[in-house]
Amino acid sequence: MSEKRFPSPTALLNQVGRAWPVMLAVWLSQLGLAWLLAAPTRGAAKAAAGQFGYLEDGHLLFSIIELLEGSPAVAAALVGGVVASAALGFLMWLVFAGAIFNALRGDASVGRSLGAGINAAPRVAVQALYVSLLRGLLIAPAFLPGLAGKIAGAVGGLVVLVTIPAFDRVRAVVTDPAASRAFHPKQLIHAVRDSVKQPIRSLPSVFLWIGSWVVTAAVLAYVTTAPQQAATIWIARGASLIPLVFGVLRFALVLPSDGARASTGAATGSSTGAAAPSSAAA
Amino acid sequence: MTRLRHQARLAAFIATLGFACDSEPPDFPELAEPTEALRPAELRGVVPADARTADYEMDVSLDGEAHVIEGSARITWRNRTRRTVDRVPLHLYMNGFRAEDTAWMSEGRGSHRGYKLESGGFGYIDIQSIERVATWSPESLDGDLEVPNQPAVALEYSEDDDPSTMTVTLDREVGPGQALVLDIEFKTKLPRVFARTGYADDFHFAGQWFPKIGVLEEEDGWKAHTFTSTSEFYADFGNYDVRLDVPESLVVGASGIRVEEAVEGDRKKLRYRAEMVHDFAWTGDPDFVEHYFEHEGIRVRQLIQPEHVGEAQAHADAQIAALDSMQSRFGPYPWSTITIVHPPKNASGAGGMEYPTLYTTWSQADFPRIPDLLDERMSGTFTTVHEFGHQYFQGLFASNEYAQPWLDEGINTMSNNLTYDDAYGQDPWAVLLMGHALTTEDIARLAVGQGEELNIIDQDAASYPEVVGDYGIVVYQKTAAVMLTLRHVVGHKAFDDAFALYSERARFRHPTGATLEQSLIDSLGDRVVLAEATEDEPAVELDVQDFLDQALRGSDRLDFEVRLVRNRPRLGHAGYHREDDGTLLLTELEERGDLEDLDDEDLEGLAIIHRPGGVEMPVDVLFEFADGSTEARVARGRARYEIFTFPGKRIQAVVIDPDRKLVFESERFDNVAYAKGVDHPHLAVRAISTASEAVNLTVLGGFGP
Repeated sequence: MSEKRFPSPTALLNQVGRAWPVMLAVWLSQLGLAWLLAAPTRGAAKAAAGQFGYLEDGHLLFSIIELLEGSPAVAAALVGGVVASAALGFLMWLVFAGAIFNALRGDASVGRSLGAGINAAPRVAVQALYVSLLRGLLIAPAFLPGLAGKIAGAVGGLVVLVTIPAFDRVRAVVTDPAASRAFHPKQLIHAVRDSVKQPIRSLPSVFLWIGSWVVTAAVLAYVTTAPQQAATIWIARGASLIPLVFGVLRFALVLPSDGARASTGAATGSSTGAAAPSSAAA
Repeated sequence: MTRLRHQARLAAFIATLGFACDSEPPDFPELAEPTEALRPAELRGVVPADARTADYEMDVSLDGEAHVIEGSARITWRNRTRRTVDRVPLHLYMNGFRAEDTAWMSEGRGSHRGYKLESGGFGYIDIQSIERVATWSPESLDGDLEVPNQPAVALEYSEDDDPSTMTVTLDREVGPGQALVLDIEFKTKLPRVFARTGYADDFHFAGQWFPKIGVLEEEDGWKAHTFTSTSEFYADFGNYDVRLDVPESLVVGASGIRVEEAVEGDRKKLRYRAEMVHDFAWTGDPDFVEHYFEHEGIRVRQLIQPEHVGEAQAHADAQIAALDSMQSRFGPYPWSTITIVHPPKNASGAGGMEYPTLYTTWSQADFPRIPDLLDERMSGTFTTVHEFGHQYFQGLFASNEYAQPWLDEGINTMSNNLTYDDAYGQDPWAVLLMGHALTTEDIARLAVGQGEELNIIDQDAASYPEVVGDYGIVVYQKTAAVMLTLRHVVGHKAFDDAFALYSERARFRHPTGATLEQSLIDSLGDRVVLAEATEDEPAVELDVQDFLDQALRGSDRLDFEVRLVRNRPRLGHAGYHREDDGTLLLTELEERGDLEDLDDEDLEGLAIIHRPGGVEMPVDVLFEFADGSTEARVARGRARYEIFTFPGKRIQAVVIDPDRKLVFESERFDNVAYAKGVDHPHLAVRAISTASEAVNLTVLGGFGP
């Protein structure tokens, strides 16, 4: 298979721009859920502090440790919030993936996109399971003792990067309402094969994925260095849009810029499923 | 000196680079062995001749395969008391590791600091013969004694109920001013190291490995405690002359200075001399890399594992900081050498232990450090500072570690905090987590909060059952916190002067807790005025002895809280008041409105300082008012609560102990409170809430596109 040309940046941005209502909905729902799931922690911490205060005197860490140590409920709420976020995040993105692909295909309606996302969720879930298993297999040798484990970890980590564009491709395929054999692992195998065969085409997805985590890490680093500042959480909230935009760009990269449905390959289960949008873009 | 240090640093750096590239152990430039065990007279400080009581001459051989040390010890003991003795107790510390049912092993159930005894790892010391060589009355007990030619007499001896001590019955009494010489043949089987001493493969660490005579005290007679897992040691000062015969491959380090070295075939014969010390330890490992530097004329030699040579300079810097700090605070270090031993990974149980002029340390934590953001100063180098601190507490002072472990471990921990203060500034960070500091005193506070109410400080080591697990908290951290609290409250200079006096009195003199307490009172006075008397109030004073009694011999907590902070209308004059002529005159009540609407002059600020803890002592309190002014007061801290009123002022906030003087107060969250209606975001609460939401946001997005 020959390398396909990228969609032009303008076309890509136009495509992403058309999906803004869904993006906004996703972002706001993330913000709302994060706030809501932090409410027990907020409440428990406030209750633990009671009428007392803390003056900024360079001992914030001591104060936090003292508060957590004296009130296990705060730590429990904190952990509970993270666990609930993980569970909800996993479930949400089974729906959001389909919704965003639907919007990128040209349907600006938030309602219809979410409906499409809900319909596609079982298929995305099954493919997510496959990709998780694949990643697990690739990473497992890293737990070998000694140098072998380190080498295996490094190699596995690099190979796992291939699964980033592959997972995007397979989701593009299975979220298409016309997709057939959408639960079959072959879909993922074909997507991995295409990603490997088109390394240059896959690279932007990897870079965007890495970029989104760099941004996330930077935000977390900022939050943990200045958590006591009132503006910090607003900066974190605002910055969380960036990884989302990067992600939507990744989705757009595996779809045709004209919004045509990438159904050909999916319907037949052939290797052209994820590549079809590229052909269309070309 | 500085140039030497720079050269050593450069050599360390280059050697480390070389080691990283080709895995060959680096070769650091060697510094010559000092010729004298003590520093020159003008540098060593006072070394009293009459402190020399027990000399040891030993000639031993190590079987590196069997891990057995065999040889003889000649003990020359001087009776410097007015007592006459007909028996001599010997410490056989190594017998603590002889069986599961010894006092040492049964207490810890075969484990120590998380390290466990392994199968086949028992050790022992077996006394094979004891002879009395001489008993006589020298002209003076000071200096070297010339042993008279007397017929040797075999003595009777037997292990006590616990084999860690033995009683030797003398055939002739030893009276005041007399000297006794004993020859002892012994065999020591080293345990597989898990608690300070023993072997691991080719690494050998011989600590508490030979028979040691007890301490004869004027008041209480012989002191020779049963060896338990926390009891540590107590011995008299003397000179040591030790001949070691070891496998040639071993790189050897020992207390004192090496005076002879010769290789004979596959054996190495060494001779060491240590003066005015109360113990002798040595180690050997073929893998040791030797790293040298000199500071203040003291030769420091590190025996470091090849994989950790990169840390050599960090430990050297810690050693220099500790030496500088402690010499300036507690007097001159008298000996000419320091040997720092880094045990291998499979012998970590040998780490973190002190012996005269030699100590063992641990390696630094291995993680990516980011300056000013993610770092720590506790692992490895803190151990180096701590174990060197023991060269004073109790290497130089030689308090009874069994009877009053706080006097060495706790006071040493305090001195370690002061070393950090001297090196990095007052209460510096020990851990940096994303730029947030956890200071040395924060750590002491947090540690104290883990178990301060279970045991008191001033008791013997056997009174801390291993299962309670508070020995480290109470003996090390609470003692340090108590002393640092006293230092902050009475003033740093006054406290430091008092400790200098104690150091002067304690040097080579087996001080007790009473020595320290009396030194503090002699220097600080019975009472320290913390707030001068006013027209209305007498002065606020700290009763030093009372504070020490509560802190050292009580298990109550030190804790204050802001019970109440609010404003109320100022007392008015409305109502009927009797005039001079006897009539009642009415002043009408004025409508004042809501509290928030009143002028400050019509209000009275009010605060209650509550003392939930049992310890009674004065505490600083800072009051903040709406007009931006503040007022500092000292609460007496005797009553359960004290009420403070401020007529004409609208109070906003109360801060107890604003300068964080009370290191001994572990619970601080209730020390700051605001009046109702004052906007006071609790920054720790905000930090936790922000972190919680941000992490949730990350996790929610993490499963995303």
